Amino acid sequence: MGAILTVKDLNVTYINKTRRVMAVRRASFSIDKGDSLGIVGESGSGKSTLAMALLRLHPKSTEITGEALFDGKDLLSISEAEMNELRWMKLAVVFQKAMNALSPVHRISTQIEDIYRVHCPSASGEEIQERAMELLKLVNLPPRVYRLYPHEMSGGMLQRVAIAISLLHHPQLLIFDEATTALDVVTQGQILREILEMEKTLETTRIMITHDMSVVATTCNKVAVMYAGELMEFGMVKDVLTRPRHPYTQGLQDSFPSLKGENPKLLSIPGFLPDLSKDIPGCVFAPRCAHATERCRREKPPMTKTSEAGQAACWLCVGDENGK
Amino acid sequence: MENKTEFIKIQDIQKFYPYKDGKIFHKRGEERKFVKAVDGVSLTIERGEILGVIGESGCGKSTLGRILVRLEAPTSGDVFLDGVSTERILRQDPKQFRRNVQIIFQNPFDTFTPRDTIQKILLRPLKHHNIGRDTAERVEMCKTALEAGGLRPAEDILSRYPHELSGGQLQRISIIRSMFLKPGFIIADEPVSMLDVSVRAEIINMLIDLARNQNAAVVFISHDIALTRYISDRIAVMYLGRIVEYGTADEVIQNPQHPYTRALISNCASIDPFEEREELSIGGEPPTPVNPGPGCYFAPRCYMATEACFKSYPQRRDLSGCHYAVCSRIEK
Repeated sequence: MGAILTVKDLNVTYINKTRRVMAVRRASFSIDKGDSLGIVGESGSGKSTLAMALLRLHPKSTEITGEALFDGKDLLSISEAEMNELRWMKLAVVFQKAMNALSPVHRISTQIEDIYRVHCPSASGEEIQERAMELLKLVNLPPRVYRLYPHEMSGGMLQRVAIAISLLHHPQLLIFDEATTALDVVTQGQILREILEMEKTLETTRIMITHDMSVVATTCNKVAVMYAGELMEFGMVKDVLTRPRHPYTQGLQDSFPSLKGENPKLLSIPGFLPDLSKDIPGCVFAPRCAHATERCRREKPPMTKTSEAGQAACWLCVGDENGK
Repeated sequence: MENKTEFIKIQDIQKFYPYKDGKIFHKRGEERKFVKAVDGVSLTIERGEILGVIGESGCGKSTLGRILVRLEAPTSGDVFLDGVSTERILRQDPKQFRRNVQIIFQNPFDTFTPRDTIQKILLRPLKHHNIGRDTAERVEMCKTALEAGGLRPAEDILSRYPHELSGGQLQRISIIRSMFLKPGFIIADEPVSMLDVSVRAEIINMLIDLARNQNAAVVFISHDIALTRYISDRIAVMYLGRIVEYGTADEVIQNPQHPYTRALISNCASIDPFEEREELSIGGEPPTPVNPGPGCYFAPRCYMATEACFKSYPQRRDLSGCHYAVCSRIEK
């Protein structure tokens, strides 16, 4: 299967009066149809910015360079009108706080109708309702939800409604931006399971943005690890999580306790994110890395192939393609 | 009956909030409804032990924490510290109680006065409890504590305001502040859920050290099961204000008996992509605990429930060691 989304050299810079913050730098990756990509990293690592850039939902002052080929079109250079055509139809996003994404003064039905009619202005109420019922069933909600107001529902239900809305127009690419983070363990588990179940019938590609490695481990097949706006490691989940090549991935993994297996002492990564408004000559992770050498601080490591589908940006992997 | 190692004894704590049904006046004899946030919790905690409390949101775990530090008075029941009723300690010597029992809150950004510097914030409890001779000595104490907690340079941190520090740093200061008083009993209410993964480990390890070195009892309230298993010696699983399972951390997680615990664990995402998981799902969300019962509170959502489960609340079944579960479907 061919690539559905290819991102090349994506740079996103937030500009305000006093400084330029390079929130995403030189991000390149591609995902195939039917893939589920998890983007993990700490807060401030640029994972949400990356997604917002793909949907062109960033503030006007933002500077974006690079290329994001989706379905043969460059998402970053097409006109706003063309982009609007793609939103909801081909690309859909679910945000962390569905409670804030829905209007509190309208019934779910009104909001679904609004969104449906943006792309099919002539659709009748019954037609929309039929589609909505189908989707509500898909996310395990009773039909009565259609007539409710957001405040009458719990967070988990709202999140399900948001997922249902994102599916209205059969999008090809779904982006979940921390969509289950604010939920309870049980609800999160249920929704993740429903998403997996749903994908068996729908042919969608999914990008899952989260800080929780365990969510990626259970629901994705590919993973991209981001740090300070740069891609640190990319590859198949099973490969990356069993044998992380990049010290940052290793560090992230060490800070998660295992549920049932052996539990060595949890380790944290000392230090802080670098100031993204300054240009960093070497590896962005070098100041916090235990393996950093002089070279790491001076030169930026290139993305190096580490396995069949895996890449990592670390000098440790260069010249030693077979791993450590 | 009196056990020497028994440091904290929680005896049948109940906390009911009157249910707001919109009526101002009630007929005489009309039964008032209550939200039973905590409904008869009994536990014991030893010195140096970390007890993890897990459950869904709304199961009463935070209310339990607030009762333990007496931010709220229980409707009935009592907590005994070294065999003395906290109610009595509070009446006779509230200062001593506050010194001995500390709480760490979830959101470090809300725990500090935004208008004061860290130095002022840290000095306040020291002054209040007369620790240290003068300000100079107290500042010195703050510096040593901050440096021991990995916050360097301490002088710089002391002169800052809370908004100038990161969540991880603030949470560490919050723990340091409560450690100053050498408390015997600490309640940590979701202390790391607001923090980034890379700094979580530090806070957790700090709490473990605190329990081990100062021989303090720690109640760790969290919804993160993997983390709770890592930090705790024992785990109590709560559902709608009651404890449904209790035991050593490994036993509860590796050999869960109560259907709720099993569902909770099976829903927990694991970091290991190859881990085999039991596929258990429980429908819906926890109901509000307004006059639940008479049967097992979990029965309406339980995949193992029989008719008997709806009739009366099950008895506690003791399993091996201290492990017990409250379910009528468990054999033996």
